[in-house]
Amino acid sequence: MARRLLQGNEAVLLGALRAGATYYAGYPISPSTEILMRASVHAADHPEFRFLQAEDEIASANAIIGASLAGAKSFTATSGPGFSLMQEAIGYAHKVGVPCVFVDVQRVGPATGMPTMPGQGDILQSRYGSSGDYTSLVFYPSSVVECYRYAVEAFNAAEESLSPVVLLTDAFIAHLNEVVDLDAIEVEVKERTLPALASGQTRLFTGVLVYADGEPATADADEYLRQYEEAKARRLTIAERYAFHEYGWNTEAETLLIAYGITRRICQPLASHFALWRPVRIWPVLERELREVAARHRNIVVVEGNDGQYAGVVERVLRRDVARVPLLGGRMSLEAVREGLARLGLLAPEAVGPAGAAR
Amino acid sequence: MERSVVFAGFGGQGLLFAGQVLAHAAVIDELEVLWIPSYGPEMRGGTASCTVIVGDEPIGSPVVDRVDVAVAMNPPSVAKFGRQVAPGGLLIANSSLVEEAYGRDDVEELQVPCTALAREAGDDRLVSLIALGALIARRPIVRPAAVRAAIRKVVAARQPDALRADLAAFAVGLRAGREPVRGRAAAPAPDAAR
Amino acid sequence: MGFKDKLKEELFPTIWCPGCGIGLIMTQLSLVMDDLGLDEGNTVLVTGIGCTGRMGGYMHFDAVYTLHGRTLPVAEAIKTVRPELKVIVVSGDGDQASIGGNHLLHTIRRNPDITVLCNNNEIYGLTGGQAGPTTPQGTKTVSSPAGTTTTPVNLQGLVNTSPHAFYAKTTVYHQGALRKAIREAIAWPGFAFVDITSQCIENNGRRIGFPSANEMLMHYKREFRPAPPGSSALESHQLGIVRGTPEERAPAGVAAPSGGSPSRGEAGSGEGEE
Repeated sequence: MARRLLQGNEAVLLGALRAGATYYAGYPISPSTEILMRASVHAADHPEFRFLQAEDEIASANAIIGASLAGAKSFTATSGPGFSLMQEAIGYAHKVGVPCVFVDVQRVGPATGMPTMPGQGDILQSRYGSSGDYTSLVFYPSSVVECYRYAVEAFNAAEESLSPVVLLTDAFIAHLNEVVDLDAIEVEVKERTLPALASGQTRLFTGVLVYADGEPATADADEYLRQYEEAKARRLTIAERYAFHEYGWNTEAETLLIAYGITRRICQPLASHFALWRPVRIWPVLERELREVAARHRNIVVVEGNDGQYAGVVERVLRRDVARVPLLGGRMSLEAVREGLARLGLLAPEAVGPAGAAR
Repeated sequence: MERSVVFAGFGGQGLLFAGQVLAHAAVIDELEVLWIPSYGPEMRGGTASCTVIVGDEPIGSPVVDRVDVAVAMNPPSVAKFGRQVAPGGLLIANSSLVEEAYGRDDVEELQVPCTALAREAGDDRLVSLIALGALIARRPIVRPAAVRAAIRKVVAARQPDALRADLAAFAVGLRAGREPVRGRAAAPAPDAAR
Repeated sequence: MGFKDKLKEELFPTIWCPGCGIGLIMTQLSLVMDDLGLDEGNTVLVTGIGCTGRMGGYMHFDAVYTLHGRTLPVAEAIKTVRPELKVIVVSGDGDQASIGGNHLLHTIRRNPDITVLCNNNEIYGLTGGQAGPTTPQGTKTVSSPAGTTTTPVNLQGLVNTSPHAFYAKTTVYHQGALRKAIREAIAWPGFAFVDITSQCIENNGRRIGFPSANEMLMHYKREFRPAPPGSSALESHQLGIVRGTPEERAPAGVAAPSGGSPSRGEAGSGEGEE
């Protein structure tokens, strides 16, 4: 029993190590930088763990792909602008089938935006950021202990699905310190199945559409479909094993709040007023679970740190109107949530007042 | 029961450090705790702050829009966080830099000349540990012994030379916290023995 | 065993245009690999987008055909994770000097023990003959109808910003020098860059006045000369090798060359020593 204070970014790193990661490449960017720094410190003491502070995020993303193909469980961590630079490589890893983990500690964007303020604006980028069609697995923890747990699961899902998996966090969770007892957390670790480079085969790992013998299939739609459907089916099948979500609070309430990551924590004081559904697996969308839960509630409100990115997804899945409480510009506060809910008529106005007022 | 504390002031006054010490002390006292530094543009050169929430159960929300204790070490921090103290709460102001009382009559206001005391103790950066001592004297959220152990844990690892001065500053703060206070609300009896 | 065992001849003819210089590089690489005992159990090929990138598919090795410009971070990471492997990058001048230029700059600085064979045809061939960073000033291309206006990137100067790097200049006409350069580059304990002037007849050569690939090769034969022994740097149209001082921290699994290390300043002629 070793209870200790642990920071969200540190927990991500420790989770990655628990999952067996032996290669990190990254480029400093707030608010993810502690992961890079801690990885460098770990590498200094553990020669089997290799660390590269690369020249940019493009190099970082491609380096973890090379490291993974060479046989190492590998990962990188970044924030919005760096995540954008990594998107081409993420698409490549999807096409080639490279297990690796991309951690995106979200801040307020676009561009440099508000570098130290929390945001949740990369929900769609984590799904659709690269070109073309592909099937992403994305997890988003809500606490420090979950940063650890879902870092492990991200690596497991990457190994099983043979694809890059994204672990989203945000500036808030990243710098949150909570009491954690890592020894008490049981995790299962999935081992590498993809044979490493130079194990006697003559494979061609390429972003080009090719046949099994390596010949280009760049004008063959049937071959494209065959490979695309196969990859999609494998990822969806594997994703079923990682259907993490939470449903609770006042399940008798008329209104269901949907909140994920740090936003779910911020809404906690409203637990007696509302039901909560929280997806941890952001992508693929937990459509069946969402439909079941939504059917029990008259109103649905998505509270998120962006202008309706997940709300739009929920509307598409449920084919019904969904209310939104966007928390923008880093204003991740209970007050902002209360105001939003009051505006929607879902929380009595007297519950919203200046800070310090009785509620 | 959860108790929330915000530490705020200039960068360089050791506010994040004081919050970290309180959080470690809570771990030592086998309480649940959450500590979050406030990051923002003001972090670089302006106001710095952090929030510590201590409880008997795992902490739910990491954000509070009112706090039980505000430790405000400069005028902007008093202005910003004075209004966020819950009724019956405690506002500790650094009277070396903040001349006037904030003036709420529903909270306990404690004026401690933290900067002057820190200078006497030899280092301006001791401001926040002095404030932490005053805080623990008025609100024994954790045991003073746990704070001392936490200081040893955090400081010994990084700056063993500073340990003696840090422990002394905390003791100065504890004594200052037992001084008479401004404000109407009755203060709980100082409980240094806990 | 022979060098043809390195090639997937069942996939021939290759996708490359008749008269392309890339096949000449693949042949010499295969010969050197055969000589050095490099096979699919100890060597990985990393190639980049561009006509050259296809080489990985024609050889009996695990090959990583990377995104455009990203050979170096991939190759360096492979070498880091598996120091016992030989990692050989084959890519073009657009891949290395333009879109991957930042990686080149920093890979040179970090000095990983990898080998880069750069097929330098001074043009973007795959996309139809646009001017590139290595295109000589004044060249008319499909994207510079009035002639390029900028000075080409100095690959030798760039590579030699590192005191530890290996730079070789050769052409596909000078097959002996090419083979020697590839062999020495693979053996070099650190970053080694072989700058190989090569013809692209279809998307450059004819536009700049060469009637055939053979005329381009004859042009290389006429224009290029071995550098005098002792040159510390190669002039334009000189063939040779410029060696830095091998770095003290030899990567795991790689022995530093015995018998003293040549320092920069000893440029071998390269030609005719096979």
